[in-house]
Amino acid sequence: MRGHRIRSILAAVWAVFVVLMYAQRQLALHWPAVQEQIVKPLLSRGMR
Amino acid sequence: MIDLVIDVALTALVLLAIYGLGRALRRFVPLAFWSAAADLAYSLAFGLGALTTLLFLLSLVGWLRPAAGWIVLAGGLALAGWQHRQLLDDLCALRDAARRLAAASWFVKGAALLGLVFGLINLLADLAPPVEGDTVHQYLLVVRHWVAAGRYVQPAHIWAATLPGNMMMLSAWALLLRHSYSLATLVTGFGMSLLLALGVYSLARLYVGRTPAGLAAIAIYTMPDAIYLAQSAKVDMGWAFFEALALAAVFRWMDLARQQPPSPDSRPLRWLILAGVCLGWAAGSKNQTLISVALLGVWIVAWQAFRRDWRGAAGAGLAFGLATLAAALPYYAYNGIVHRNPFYPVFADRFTAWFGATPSPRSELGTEVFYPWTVIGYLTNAWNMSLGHPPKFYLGTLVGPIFLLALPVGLILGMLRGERALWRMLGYAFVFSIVWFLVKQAARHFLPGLILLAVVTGFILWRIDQQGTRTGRVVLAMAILALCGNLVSELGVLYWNGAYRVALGIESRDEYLQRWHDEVIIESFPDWETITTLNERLGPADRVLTPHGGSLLYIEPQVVSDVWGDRERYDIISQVDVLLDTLARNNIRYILTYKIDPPGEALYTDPAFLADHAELLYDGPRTRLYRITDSEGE
Repeated sequence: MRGHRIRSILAAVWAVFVVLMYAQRQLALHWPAVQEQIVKPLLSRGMR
Repeated sequence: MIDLVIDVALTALVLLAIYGLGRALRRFVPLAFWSAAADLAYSLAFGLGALTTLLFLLSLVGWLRPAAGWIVLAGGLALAGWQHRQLLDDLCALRDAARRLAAASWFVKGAALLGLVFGLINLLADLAPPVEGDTVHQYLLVVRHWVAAGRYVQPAHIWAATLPGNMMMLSAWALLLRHSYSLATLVTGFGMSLLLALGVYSLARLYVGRTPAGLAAIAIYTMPDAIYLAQSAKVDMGWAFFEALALAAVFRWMDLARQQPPSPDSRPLRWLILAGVCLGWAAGSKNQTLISVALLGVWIVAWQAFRRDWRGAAGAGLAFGLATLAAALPYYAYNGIVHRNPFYPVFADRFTAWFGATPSPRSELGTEVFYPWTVIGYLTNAWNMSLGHPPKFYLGTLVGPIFLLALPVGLILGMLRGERALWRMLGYAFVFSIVWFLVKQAARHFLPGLILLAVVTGFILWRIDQQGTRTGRVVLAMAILALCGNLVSELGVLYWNGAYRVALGIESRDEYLQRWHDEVIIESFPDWETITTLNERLGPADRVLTPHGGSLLYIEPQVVSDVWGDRERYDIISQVDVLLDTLARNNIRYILTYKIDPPGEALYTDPAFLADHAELLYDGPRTRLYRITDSEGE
């Protein structure tokens, strides 16, 4: 029972880890483009 | 807007015609499938394989004409109408699936909703003209030449012209019905992506229930790589559909052949013939199927030999091999006769040396290898393929994190204990992945393995959902988040290229193409002014040499890439007289240079060479167009 609980927690931690790594990797790869093509145009529109 | 409606309607009619012929052919196949979905999937495969083969035969005799396209469509639709009761049954099955979904868990509902959203986005994106790289400089460009010629031709300056053409023939059929590249993309990209999802569902239903099978289909359909392919006219979705059904038939054969005592009605060899036919059609769609032919062939024979059934091994190998050969024959036989190399341009150097075959500047083998051939390289590729490759990786997109998330979770929780069939799938996917890693490392070439990983993933997620534990809910929430991550990156692409603007009627297809070329894409692609200039000043027979072969689909003259040429490279020619001779021999009278390139990277773009042997016709924002003068110093 205890072993199963530990494995369940390990599985949940792995799932969270993978999703966090995915988000981190994608943000690192695309953040410059997001800034350039989405954030900047939105901000400049707001400044007008 | 009417253009878009017509394209969507024609896509539905093409799929219905495939269905009609497939259901008719199904009547001659004496096999009982394991589920209604499998029955439907194989019927569609029969229709698709038969129609694309028929179109190839028509193209050989010069009947690749609009009238032929409409007659084929009418025939398929008539057959569908004749079997309207079966069609209604299939539609009712779809309705029943939707009803069952209403009673499903929050996780299954959420995953299904996401799958639906991905489908809708693919449909919307395909309404805009295609701009995906290989689609516009290879796969639809070849098709454009076929349709213009009214027959099967292999223009020497298009690398994809000699590749197996089942899926390209499907695109050609679309162009015969209507000169719309969006229609071709809708049929070959979007339509075949739906078939792939059905194929994966059917394969999964061999061993698991409806819900895990549905989750498997969602896992494959929501991969960023599947989205990329569904929004192109590349051949991979249809190819993977055939591969999924071939795998399912092989598994079915194994299950029946193992039965003790054997059931008198099972006739396992028939399943191997079916597997061979499906694999043959896959090979007729993409020559990478040779990996599957080799691996499955060895597996089938070894499996029988391991049981010391030597006669059975020979029979199984023959049934599988001959069926594969028969279905794959058209394009390989053509290349064998014309180029003395059935697999041209694969193995080109060997065939040229041994049989005097047509030489090629590029063999397919090893052209897409990015990570080193080491265990670390293999694992790095698997990790990055799931989460994100470094910026220098140029071989396509990702499979997303769903497999990396679910498979270890299933192993940790012991969910695959006793699941022999699923372990068999994992084993085959692993062996396939090693060969794939050595030959091609882009995710799309691993689709036969991903299909199997999707089945196991669907099963694991379903089991976790069934358990209803708190930690399980965390895993499922992360799985939904992973799919949402895929969706966000897809929405990002849609925002970047603005393809949705066509579907929403904000801009026409021409306006979209102009904006995409002028504002969206990098400067190694022609801008709209360059495309317009080439189309207005030159004719379809004129030939232009260039270092960047982007967007050629939209350019009327024949633009020849310097690294492929007419099956000989121009970028490495360093002697003026050799270059001039080669250009003259291949009737190339124009050169298009790009301003982003450092001058003189190749001799033909060298300013001194151009000053001596060419005159400037056009000097635009991104490009310069030169006409080659006939002799030195003229």
